[in-house]
Order: sequence, then C-alpha cells, then structure tokens
Amino acid sequence: MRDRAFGRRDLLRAAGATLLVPAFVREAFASPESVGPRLVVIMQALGTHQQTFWPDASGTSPILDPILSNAALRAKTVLVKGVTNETTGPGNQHDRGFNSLWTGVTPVGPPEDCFGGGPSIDQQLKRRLNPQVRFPTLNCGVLAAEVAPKNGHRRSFSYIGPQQQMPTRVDPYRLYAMMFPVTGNDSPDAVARRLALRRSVLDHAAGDLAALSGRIGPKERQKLDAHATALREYETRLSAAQSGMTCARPALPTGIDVTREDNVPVLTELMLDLVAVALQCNLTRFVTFQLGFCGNQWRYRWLGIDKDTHEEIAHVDWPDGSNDVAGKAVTAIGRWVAENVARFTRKLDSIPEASGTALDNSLVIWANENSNGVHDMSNLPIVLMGRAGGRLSRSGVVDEGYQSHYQLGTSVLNLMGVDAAGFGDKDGLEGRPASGPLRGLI
Amino acid sequence: MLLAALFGVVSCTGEIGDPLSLSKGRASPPAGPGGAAAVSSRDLRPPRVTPPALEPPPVDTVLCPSTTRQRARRLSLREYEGAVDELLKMSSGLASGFASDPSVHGFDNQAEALSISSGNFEEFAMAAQLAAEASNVSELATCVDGVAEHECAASFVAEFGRQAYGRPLTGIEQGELLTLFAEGADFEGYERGIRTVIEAILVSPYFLYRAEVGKAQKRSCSRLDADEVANAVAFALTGRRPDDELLARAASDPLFRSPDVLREEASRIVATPESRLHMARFLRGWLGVPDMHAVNKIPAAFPSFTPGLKDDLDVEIDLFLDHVLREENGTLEALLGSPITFASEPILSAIYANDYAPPLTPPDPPAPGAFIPIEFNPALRKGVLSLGGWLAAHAPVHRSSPVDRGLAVRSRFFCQTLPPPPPGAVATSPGPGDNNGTTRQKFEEHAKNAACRSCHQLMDPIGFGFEMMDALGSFRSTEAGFPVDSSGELTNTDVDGPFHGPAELADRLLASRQVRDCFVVQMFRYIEGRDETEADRCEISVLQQFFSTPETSIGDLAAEIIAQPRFSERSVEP
Repeated sequence: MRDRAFGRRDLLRAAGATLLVPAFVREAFASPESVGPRLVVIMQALGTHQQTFWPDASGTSPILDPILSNAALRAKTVLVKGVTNETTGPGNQHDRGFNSLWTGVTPVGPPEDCFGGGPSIDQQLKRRLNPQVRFPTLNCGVLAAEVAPKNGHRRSFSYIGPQQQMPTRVDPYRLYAMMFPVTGNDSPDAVARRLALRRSVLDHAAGDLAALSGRIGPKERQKLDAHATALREYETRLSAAQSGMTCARPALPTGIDVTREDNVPVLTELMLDLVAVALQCNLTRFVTFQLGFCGNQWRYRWLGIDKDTHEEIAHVDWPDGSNDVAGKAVTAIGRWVAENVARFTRKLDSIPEASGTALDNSLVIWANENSNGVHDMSNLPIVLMGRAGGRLSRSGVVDEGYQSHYQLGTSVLNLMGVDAAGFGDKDGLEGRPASGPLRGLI
Repeated sequence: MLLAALFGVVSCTGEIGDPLSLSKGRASPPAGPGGAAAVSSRDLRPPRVTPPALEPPPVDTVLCPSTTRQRARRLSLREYEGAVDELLKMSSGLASGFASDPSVHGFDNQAEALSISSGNFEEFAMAAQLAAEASNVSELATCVDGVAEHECAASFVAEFGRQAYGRPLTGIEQGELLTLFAEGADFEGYERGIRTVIEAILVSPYFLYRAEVGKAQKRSCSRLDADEVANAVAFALTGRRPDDELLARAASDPLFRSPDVLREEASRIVATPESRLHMARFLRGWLGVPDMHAVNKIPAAFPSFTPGLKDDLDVEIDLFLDHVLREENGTLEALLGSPITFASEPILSAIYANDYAPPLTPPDPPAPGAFIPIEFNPALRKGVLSLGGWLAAHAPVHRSSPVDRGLAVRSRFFCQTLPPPPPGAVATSPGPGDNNGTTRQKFEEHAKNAACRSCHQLMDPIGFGFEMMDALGSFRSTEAGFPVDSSGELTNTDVDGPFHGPAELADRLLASRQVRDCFVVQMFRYIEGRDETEADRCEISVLQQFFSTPETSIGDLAAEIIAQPRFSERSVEP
C-alpha cells in the first residue's frame, strides 16, 4: 500500500483553513417555515416483518412502539398500508426498491448495474421549488458506500437524471466541516482577500465550464449544467457560510471509523443530528438518508444478531411469519430503526418555529426497499411523520386497499406544495396516465 | 470489398489516411457465418438469450458512422487521482475519501455514470485546495535569482497546464491563469500565486474532463482535434494523460489521426507496463473481481477467509493477469486456459490444497509472503475462472452460488441479457445451517417452479458445473455429507453441451465464437466508456473478425479499436 499523503483529517483541516468567510457576510434567507415544508426520506433495506410492523387494536406494534407510544409523535404520524412499488425493468427487487421507488420511472442499464431512470423526488423538488439554501438537497446516510464492487449502483437512491447518481454522504466529519466552516485568526482584510481569491479561482472554472458547454450538444450539456449549478451553489456557500454560525453546533465525537459496521448506531445518531441541525438552521430543504445500501449484509452485532441479515435472516423470514428466529431478528432491526426515527422526529418536534415546530413544518418519511425479506414489493411499510407545514392533518393508519408507489410520490409532491396530478411514469404529462395521490391521506 | 465500403465511412471527414491500411500486415479472416453479433439488446421484455446471428451486412451498405457523440468525459476517480499525483509528483490518496463512482458492466470509467454535481463538487473543490497547499512550489515552479517572478510563473503555467490538460494551452488560457497568479502573488507573494494557479487548474473542467469535441466536418459529424485523439488513445490504453512522445507526434505529424499512425502509436503504448496494468484493470472489471477486499464470508463457517487471504487473492489475480498479458502474449486462450496460477502459502492451503489427491502431490508451500507459480490439477481447473478469487467473489457469504456464477458466465462471457425477476417473485434462497442437502439440490427447486425456471434455466445449469468449488473456490467432493454433483450444461450458446467443472467449461468457452465476439463488445465498452448501440454493429463486427483468431492478443484488439476511423470522429447532437 502506498503512503497516503492526505487523510480525512487533512481534508477537514483544509476545509477549516480555507473556507474563511468575512463575519459581515450575512445570508438574507427567509426563515425556514416561511419557505415551505422540508422533506426527509429515510430508506431502510431488506424489508420488514409484516406481522410485527402494523399496529394492532392497541394502536401500536413491536416495531413501531418507539414512535407510537409517544403521544405527541403518534398524533403526527400516518401509516399507509397497501402501497406497492409497481416498477418493472432491470435489476431485482433490491435494486428497484431503491432506484425506482422515489424516481417513479423505470430503471435503466444492464440488470447487474441498473440505475434510476430519472430524477428522484428530492431532485425533482429542488428543480421545481429552487430553494435558496446552502444545500438544496442533502443526500446522506451511514455506510452506504461499503458495497461490493458489482453493486456500486446501490450506493444511493437519489438521482439527478438517468444513471446520474447523487453520491451519499456517509462521513459526519466531512458533513460537519461543510456545515460549519471554521473562521481562522486572519484579519478581516485577509479573510476578505482570501475569499476573493477563492472566488476568482471558481469564476475561472465557471468560465471554462461555460466555454466547454458551448461546444457540445444539449444532452451532454446537461451534465455540465449540473456541474455549473454545483459550482454556483458552492460559491454562494463560501460567501454565506457565516449563516451556519448562528446554530448550535452538535458535539462531534472524534475518531469514529465511518466504514465500520459496528459504528452504525453512533453514526446514525450523529448523521441524523446533523440533518436536524441542517433543517433547523435552514441549510437544507430536501434530505435523503439511507441506512446502508439496498440489499446490504449488516450483521447488527449491537442488537445481538451477528448474522448476515440479508442471506441468513431476511431471505428466510418467510412471508407467513413462520420462521420465528428470522422474524424476531427483523423485528429487532425494525425497532432499532424506529428508535432512531423517533429520536430524530422528537428532536425536530422540540425546535420551535414561528408556527408550530420544525416537525410540523416537515415531512419525514421512513420507507423500505421491500415489504418483507423475500423480495416482495407489495404492502411496503410506509411511515409519514410531521405535518408538512399544515398540509397533513390526519394520523393513524390509511387502509384504502391497493395503492401504487406513483400515488405515494404524487402525495409527497403535493404535500411539499407542488401541484402534480401524478408522479414519474404516471405523471399525467405528455400523454402519460396520471396516478393521482394516495387515497385517504388528505 | 468490405474495405472498399469502409471508404464510404471515412467520407465523414473526407481526409482519413489510406483506409486499406485497415488490413495491412494482418490476415483478414474470412467472414464467420457463425459469428454472433454480441450487441446486446436493452430490450428487457422477453428473455432474448440468443443474440441475433450476424449476417455480415451487404457490402455496399457497410457504414461505420461516428456513433460516439461529442462529449466531455469526466475522469474516473482513479484516473483523477493518478493525474493529480503525476502532476504534483506525490502519492496523495486524494480521492480515497470521495464518494465512490458507480460502475457499469464492472467498469469504473463509463461516461454516463460519471458526473460532477452538488453531491460531489465540494470534494473536487476541497481536494484542489488541499493539493495546491501541499504542493512543493519550489520544486514545481523553481524560480532562480535574476529571473522575474512573472516570467517563472509564465513558464510554469505553460508547462504545468500542458501536462494537466493534455494539450498546449491557448494564449488566452495562459493569460487568465497568469492573472490569477498575479492576484495570489499580490496577496501573499510568489508561492501563493503559484498555488492559486495549481488550484485553478485542478478545479478546471479541462482537467476534470477530457473534451471529445473536435471540429464539425458536416452538420452531423465532427473530427476530433489531434490532441483530443492523443488523450483518447492514452486514456484508453493507460488511464492516463498522453506521454510526451504521443503529444509530440500529435502536434507534429499531419497524419496523426490516420489509422496507420494510431495503430502504430497504440501498439507502442500497449507494450508498456502502464498499459498492461490498465488492461489488467479492464479484465478485472469485466471478470467482476475489481477488489477482493469487498468480498466477505461468514467467519464461523470460513475461518481461513481472513483479510490476509483476501490480500493474497488480490495479488494472485494481479500476478495471473500480468503473466497472461506479458508472458502469454495476452491471448484469450491464455486467460481462459492457463494451466498455472500463482499461490502463497495461505492460498495454497485455503484454496488449492484439496485439488491434489494422490497420485498428485501438492506443490511445496512457498516461504511466508512469497508467491510461486503452481500448476493446476488439469482435471479440475484451467484459466481465470478457476481462480479462488473469481470463485469466492461469485458466491455469497455462506455457500456456493450456481446463480451468481451462471449469470456471470452468461452475461459477461456471452453478453446475453437476462430479464429481471418477474413481479411477485420471492427470494427463497437457501440459508446457511440447514444441512439437509446440497446447494444444488436446494437450487433445483428453481427448475420445478415455472415462474423461476424461465430464467433460472439460463443461469443455474451453468453454475451447477462449478459446484465442486465451495464459497471460497476450494475443491469439495461432498457437501454437508452429501456427494456433490458438478455436472453443468451450456444452453442457448454456440458451444452447447454438458461439462463438468471449471476446466471443462474453459474448453467450451475457448471453442466459442460468441465468447470471442462478446469479449470484443466488452472492450469496446471499456474503451468508448459507453454501451454499444445498434449503430455500432458494423464496427464491432469488423473488430470481431479481427479478433476471431486465437493468436490475436487483447492488446492487439485495443490497438485495433483505436485504429478504427470512427475512433477519431464524433457525432454532433442535433
């Protein structure tokens, strides 16, 4: 192995040392709740245990109890039964559970390397609502990159366009460095000049990019356009980085190996904490969060499972619930995710805003690639939390029979303030059918 | 006749060199009627498992139009890091913390999947700052006493820029970079000025991408500039910017873009160690063994599969491929049929020990840390599909996998695309611990269920032929106390029939024209960085003819792809 001249620490230091911003630069952004609700989509992998997921007559369930036993959360939680991911196309149900649920379109590419076929809902929202925040979308998670080489397409469920995957940020240190750039000891004048120099460098790159874009055709140009957009956003962030300073910085324990599965519990907490802060401080609007990648093989040692939960647990958790060992393990995993979701939403609910709480002004979705461990995509476990800025008022279980993932996507767009008759391949545009929203939600 | 027809193609540019040079010095093999067009279909509806037989197109309609559109091709992360290291003369590991790029067909350089967006721009921007700060300015941009600093900066900009962009900078570009130098120097002196230039270059799209644009010849067709071609050649063969020799020839030889010159340059580069390394990366991607460290096994069941063994299996693949490329002339025959591999003591004991039943005697184990060439037991193993690394990578954590192995053979070696599992299909994969039969017996369930059978009959029977190799690729004659049945069968190919174990499969694959044809498609994807389309069929069939003889090497094929007239042309998007 060759020497590594730079490690993660160095990147952090570089960020700190160079993203210097003058204190007088202030963002003129609107307050969070006045610009429309935020969206957080949390994706779990490998399905759930249907028998212990849905609430019984008591109103709770072994998996969802951490959420539903909290009266405040329960009042802001809706479960949707009967949602089927109807996607066909390349890949198996692990692939399609991730690459299609939130794009609404048929995946592309060879079966072994199948990607989303169009923009995912976070990117659709970014495009349609164009939020003026430092990170219009934040695509993050834990251990999403630790994937077998042949499954590289499983690293993210967020797409800019066909095959154009948004990478998943899995390193809380890097995310932290981006969110909270360090001001150095330079004089205000030096800070200003350093910033001016950096802007000159970026302007130079933007000029090259424009020149290159002008020489190629419209399809190829789309990629460079995304690059140019990212460059502009970054430049804006450099100038406006100061706005992050008004937020309380969460404590960040040092030395956590972000590739080690045993660190998943602490990483999940940390990343979700950072997401909560990013939402609170109006640094971002649309968040995707993935626990591992679709079809992962976590062992959940911290839950005492210590088995390959893909091959040894999920795939033998028979749909009739008859495998007691597997069912218990999947229930424990689901409950662990529920604890994290509850912790995250409680945190949002504790943040007061001009009207209601941050949770009231958000939509937090917890979904899953599959409905059970054997590749089924019908009756997905869908949890909607928050009030979406007042657009969502009901709680409890929506049980209106069969509904499609197109309807789910439409409802989410509608809740975020987008007037849409459908989603993805059933968006009602250009002669395509319109799926309409979920029945029984609004 | 075919060649005459190709002349029609080159009328795209109107001034390509002698098109007949396509066959110079090379026996043009007769058209193989059995040659299959391995141009795979994106059509996913019916299981189209038999590629349409290629009727050589009627000669007077042969056209190889430019089928790659004008584009800016982003460097893969490996190419990017290598380029930074080469420029700054360091070993940075700069991209190690980046979000990794997805691969397609096993290749990490596929243009459509590589982009820069708000998801990863920050990484490139921060890396550029970091690398600029870490640069040794006094070495990179030496400025001796008596020379004005702006003159030092000017020569640095010209030379560093040329290396970074793989072409000479225009006067305007140099002027802009010198303005940045002046801004930095004005702030904090000469070093700051140079660092500012380095950062600007490392974050410029001309460094992060390579342009394939050229000058329009017709409304729908452009011809790449000589330096764009030089970059395309160099990246195709080495994954790096062009060397000085190639750039010099691009600048000075008016016939640089002719097939003759490109073939000559490609042949020169293919013989270099850098190119062999790059070809090995291509082969590893194609074979689905890019990195053994991502392969895991259940520790309790496979205690020998330690990180150390994974390291060794990676080295074994490197040594094996290098042997094939360097000493066996890089033929498919050697790749699929080599009678030897290279083993360390842990590999010998964990993977190959069971191969040598009396009267065979196992090789003497090498010294710790050393690798020795060993001969396979020829009855069991032959070629790359016998390597422990390939077999272990094509099996899940707890057992062998007829599905993974069968699918890999069908998709990667025959370029056949299988349809996805039908809606409602449930995975009933055998878990570990239920020792009530062999893996094969459990998977034979697929054959009983009509919904599963339609596709699994195309994978499992091939994979069954590997059953003598367990999840690590170690030979076994029994599994859970039951005798192992390794009879496999190839169907829907041009080499259909039964086989037993990897060695017999290798013989069949080597007899297959479809496999050779598919290999050509795979290399086309790697070099072009994209999927083939129907429009590529003509060129691919020419290449398939070229590659149809056993002695043609993988490197020759790469050079031949580069020597196609189309290589220097691009279509213009409407």
